[in-house]
Parts: sequence; C-alpha cells; structure tokens
Amino acid sequence: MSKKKPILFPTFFLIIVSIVLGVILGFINEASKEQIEINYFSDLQKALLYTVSFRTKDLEKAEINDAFKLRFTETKYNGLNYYTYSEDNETIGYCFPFSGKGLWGNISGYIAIDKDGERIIGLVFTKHSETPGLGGRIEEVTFTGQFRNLDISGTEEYVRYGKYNGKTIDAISGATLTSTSVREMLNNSIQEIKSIMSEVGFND
Amino acid sequence: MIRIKKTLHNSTLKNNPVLRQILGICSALAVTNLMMNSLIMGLGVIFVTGLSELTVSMLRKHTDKHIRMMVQVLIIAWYVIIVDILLKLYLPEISKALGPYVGLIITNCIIMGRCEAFAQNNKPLDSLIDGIASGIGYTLVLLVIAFFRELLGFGTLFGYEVLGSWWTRWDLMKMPAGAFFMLGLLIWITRSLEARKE
Repeated sequence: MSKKKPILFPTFFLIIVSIVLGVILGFINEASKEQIEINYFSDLQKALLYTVSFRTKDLEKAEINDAFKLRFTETKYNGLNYYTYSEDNETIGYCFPFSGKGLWGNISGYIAIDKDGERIIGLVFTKHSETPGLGGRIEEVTFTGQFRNLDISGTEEYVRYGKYNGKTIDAISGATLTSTSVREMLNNSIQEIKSIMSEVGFND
Repeated sequence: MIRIKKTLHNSTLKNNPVLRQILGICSALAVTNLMMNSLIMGLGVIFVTGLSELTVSMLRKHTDKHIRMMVQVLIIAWYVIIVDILLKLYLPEISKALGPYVGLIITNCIIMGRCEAFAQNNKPLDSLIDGIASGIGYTLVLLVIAFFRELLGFGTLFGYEVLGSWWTRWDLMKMPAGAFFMLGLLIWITRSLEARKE
C-alpha cells in the first residue's frame, strides 16, 4: 500500500488558486464588458444601416451610432424586435430580423421592407456558419445587393433564382444547398413579416 | 544562452508539435483557410502555452502530484478566457471568424502536453521559453498550410489579391478536406527530408 495521499492541503491549494484566478478574471471581464457590448451594438447598427444602403465604411463607432439613432427606432412586438426606418422624420420602411437553417448551422440576418410591404429595401446576413468562400459568400455585397428593390408584392415565392420581374438573382455557384436554404428562409420570413405588418396595420 | 537556443530549436523544429507529435490537429485543420485567422490563432496559442507553462512551473513545487492536472486545466482555461476577451475587445471581426476555436484552445493538446512534459520539471523561465517555442512551432505549420490553402482556394494572401482572375479558385482548399491533404503532404515532405538528413 502506498503512502496515503494528502487531502487537506491540496484542497486548500486548489480553492486558493481558483479564487485568485477567478477574482482577476472577474475584474477583467467587468472592465471589458462595456466595450464588448459597444462592439456588438456597433456591428448590429452597421448591419442595419447596410440594409438601407447607408455607407458605414471609414466611419467611427460614434458616427455610426449617430447615423443609426437618426434613422432607426426600435419597437418590441410579441417578443420580436423590429426597427422602423425613417429619413427626415418620414417613415420609409421596417427592418425585421429573420433566421433559418443553413447547410451547417443557423443563418440569421435582417431584412428591410418598405412600408407598403411591396419591395425589399435591402437585406444583410449577420450570423452564419457556412463554408468560407462557398456558402459563406452569402454575406458578400455581390449576393445581398441583388435583393435590393426586389418586388415582393405577390402572394408567394417572393424570392427566386434566375431572371424574373426584370431582375436577375444569381445563386452562389458551388453552394447550392446554402442558396436553396436562403431562398426558403427568405420566402418564409417575408410571408411572416407581411402577416405581422398587416396585423399591426403598418399599411394604413 | 545555449540552453535557450536548444529549447527553442527542440520545441519549434525538431519536435514540432504538429508535424512530429501530431498534436493540435483539429484547430490546424479548422482555421487554416485564411492566413489572417491562422496568424491570430497562432498568436493566441503562443500566448497561452507560454504563460500557462510559466504559471504551472511557478506553482509546481506547491502542487501535489495528484491534483496537478486540475491545476493545469484551471490555469490553461484561465488564459484562454483572457485571450477570448482580448479578441472580442480589440479584434471583433477575427473573433467572429474564429468562432468556437478560440475557446477550444483549451483542448489543444500541445498546451497540456507541454505543461505535463516540460513545465512540471523545469524552471519558470525555461518553461516560458519552451511554451513560446512550441507555440511558434504550431503557428509556423498553420501559416504554411494557410499559405497554400488561401493562395489556391481564394487566390489571395492575407486578403490581398495575388493571383488574378485567370486562376480558377480551388474550392476543395477552402474546405476542411483541403486542410487534410495539405497537412498530410506537409508531414510527408518534412519527414522524408529529415530521413534523408539522417
């Protein structure tokens, strides 16, 4: 039988180490929390401003914040956060979050629709885990830009790939599954958003 | 000085963690599609291996043998969380691109392996150098793989266009499968070169 292992000192030692490291980490976390939140909101504001074609490149965080505050107001409705978009105090459209399943994981983003629910002002993908360089290209302007001013006044199949309504929307080559999921996701979301819009009575 | 040089040479090249010890493969496959991501990941790992080894080594005389692994994991996790916070703070874009792989530095066997094999029996300064050297070894391999993957897959290096539009993007290289091929080739080449030397 080997020597009995000591219990008391190791336990004490572990507790001390945990407390010391934990306290330091707590301080670091507390000190950085605010800035991380600012970074997060700045990203969100950038994304929303992108949907309405506002250029945020080369702008400071504070300037982005000002531009955002001037144009967007947040509203909560049934656990959903949407943003009202206006220029010079005139309501132009609404920005809704959307999400759905992609190839590898969930994809989410924001879509701005004009106040009559007839066309897409723009959309942006904020979170996805698609293959970089293939499905991941949904976040590129060449893809998202195609949806600008898309007519969605019909009743179903708002988004299609190919030529229609005088517009051409290209899927991403080499990423058929991602492209298909995005199409389904957008069609479902637009349907939902339209029903919410008529429920709340935005159209009046 | 000679000792430091020897440690550096040993841990970076001779016993390269990825190529010779086949450790840290998971992240080496996952983040190497872009040079920038690989570089940041590598710097994160250098930071964590270096400082974890330093801390483990400093505490080694007070740590009982049977709780040493718990202490090591605690220390490693602590440094990884700090790296995660720093990335979120100063490089939010890259933090987003690396996603869960920053947190997964904890499970990188290089760090635990070096803490166990080296820091447990060596002085703090030597351990720090060994940790940094191992991290550099890991980073070098990542950068080599990423160099080929980004060049062949995207035609760019660090985001700058290198190959023109005449180059057909090699989609395989963008996916993890491409990393398997690159890593396999790299191990094969380095080993056969070494065998010839001997």
